[in-house]
Amino acid sequence: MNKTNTKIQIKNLHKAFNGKAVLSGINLSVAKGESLVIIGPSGTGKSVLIKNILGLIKPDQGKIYIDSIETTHLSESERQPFYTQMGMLFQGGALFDSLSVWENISFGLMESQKMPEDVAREEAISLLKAVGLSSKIADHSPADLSGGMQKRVSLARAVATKPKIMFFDEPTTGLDPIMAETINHLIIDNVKKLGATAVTITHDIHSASMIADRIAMLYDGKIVWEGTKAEFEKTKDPYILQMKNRSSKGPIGN
Amino acid sequence: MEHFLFSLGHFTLNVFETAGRFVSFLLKVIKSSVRPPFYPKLILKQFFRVGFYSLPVVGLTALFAGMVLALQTYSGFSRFSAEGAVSMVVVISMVREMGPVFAGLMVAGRVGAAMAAELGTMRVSEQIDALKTLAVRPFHYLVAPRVIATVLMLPLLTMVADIIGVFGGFLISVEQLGFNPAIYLQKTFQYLETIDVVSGLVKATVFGFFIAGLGCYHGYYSKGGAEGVGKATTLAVVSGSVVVLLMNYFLTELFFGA
Ligand SMILES: Nc1ncnc2c1ncn2[C@@H]1O[C@H](COP(=O)(O)OP(=O)(O)OP(=O)(O)O)[C@@H](O)[C@H]1O
Ligand SMILES: [Mg+2]
Repeated sequence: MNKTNTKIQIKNLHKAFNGKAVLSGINLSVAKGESLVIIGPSGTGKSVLIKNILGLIKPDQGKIYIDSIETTHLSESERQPFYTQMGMLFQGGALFDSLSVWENISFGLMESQKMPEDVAREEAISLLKAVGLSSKIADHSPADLSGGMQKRVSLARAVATKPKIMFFDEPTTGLDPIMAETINHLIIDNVKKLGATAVTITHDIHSASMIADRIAMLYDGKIVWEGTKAEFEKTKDPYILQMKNRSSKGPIGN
Repeated sequence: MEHFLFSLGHFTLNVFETAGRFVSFLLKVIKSSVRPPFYPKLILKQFFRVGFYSLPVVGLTALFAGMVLALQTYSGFSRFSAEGAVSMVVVISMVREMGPVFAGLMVAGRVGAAMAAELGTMRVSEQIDALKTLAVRPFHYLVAPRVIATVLMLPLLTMVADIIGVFGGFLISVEQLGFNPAIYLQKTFQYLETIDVVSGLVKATVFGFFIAGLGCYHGYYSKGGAEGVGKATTLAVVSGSVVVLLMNYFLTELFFGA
């Protein structure tokens, strides 16, 4: 892979919590404009991995490069320019409960891009429609929404500033299959249209093969399989086969 | 014995670690309070929550504090026929001690707890992380407005407490103890010095900084879901109240110590 074409690079990343190793030597890179999907069983550290990339968790060991700049040791203020070009959908939504739905969606637009309030509100409402929600909920509190609705509002918030790097932590979990399909398309559209780089975590194999250019599987603190979408479809790798077949027999869980 | 020494060492290390973390937290608070970005709207919002909505409880406690001061001083001082000093004792106790301490304790309970609960909830539900990814710095956006508002509002609340407290003493003295209102008031202000009032307001400013600092600190570093947030809230109130009383002693020593 050409160096200048690499958006995110992770080298030998280690992270343990209270002596319990979660990530033990991750090497992974994502090319500019590429959509990487990370799959893997529950509790293997997928969320921890992307929080490390975002600088929300400090790694114990290893280096992370964004646009070839090492970010692991940056201070909070040095990190600001990176955050302005990133968007993140948190697994739990993480909506601000002191703000209304539309204020959540346009938060980045108003606070960091200084967009005037009335324009930002219009923008928020059109994003609401894009994630399949009615503009009627714009003034509601996030706490009044269902889990699936919160997730979609959170997705709208993550893409509102048109970030160059997007992270989606289980964007379709908890949605009905039809809505999940809408969200898959929305992610593809956002990534392709904006030429953004995307890292998506999912348990949904169908969604993975729709969104991904490349797929990596995390298991037991390591990347155990990595390949293109075409390779993913053909591979006889026991880990991937077990995930695909939803089988309890195989290398995972033993 | 060895075990005991080990625990003692561990405990000491813990104390130093926590103290160090708190001090560096406070330094960061100061830095983010004086450097942009500023959020005037959020400071204004906190003004209301810290100042305006604390008025009833601070006013009520101050009123009764002033009333009880008058009663106690009268009953104590009449033993050596010094009833005439009641008005001076009330006003000096009120502005030097009772005003700032009671306002501080009430704000530690109301505001310190609310700050710990809010920031704690935001921490465990990843809202603080979300804020960072949206390129907004949590110290500037969440912590600084709360601390600034409390530092500015607590002296104002203290002034209100002083006035209401003195009024409470006046009420009891005139209505119940039979003092002449004009003479009582004249004596109230005759011996009052600027330093009495100023020292109380300085105390309030310091209390405000620590109450909000501790509330935000416990919330910001809370972990472990609802239980963690509950613990943070309790710690914020307890540590806030203790710090008010300790600081009160040292500041008094500083101002009036021999
Ligand atoms: N802040 C933290 N402190 C302590 N342990 C943590 C922390 N964050 C994550 N962990 C632990 O790290 C492990 C991996 O967690 P993570 O959330 O990354 O899993 P995941 O792969 O995203 O799982 P899921 O698919 O269920 O979301 C878990 O055992 C979790 O308990
Ligand atoms: Mg996860």
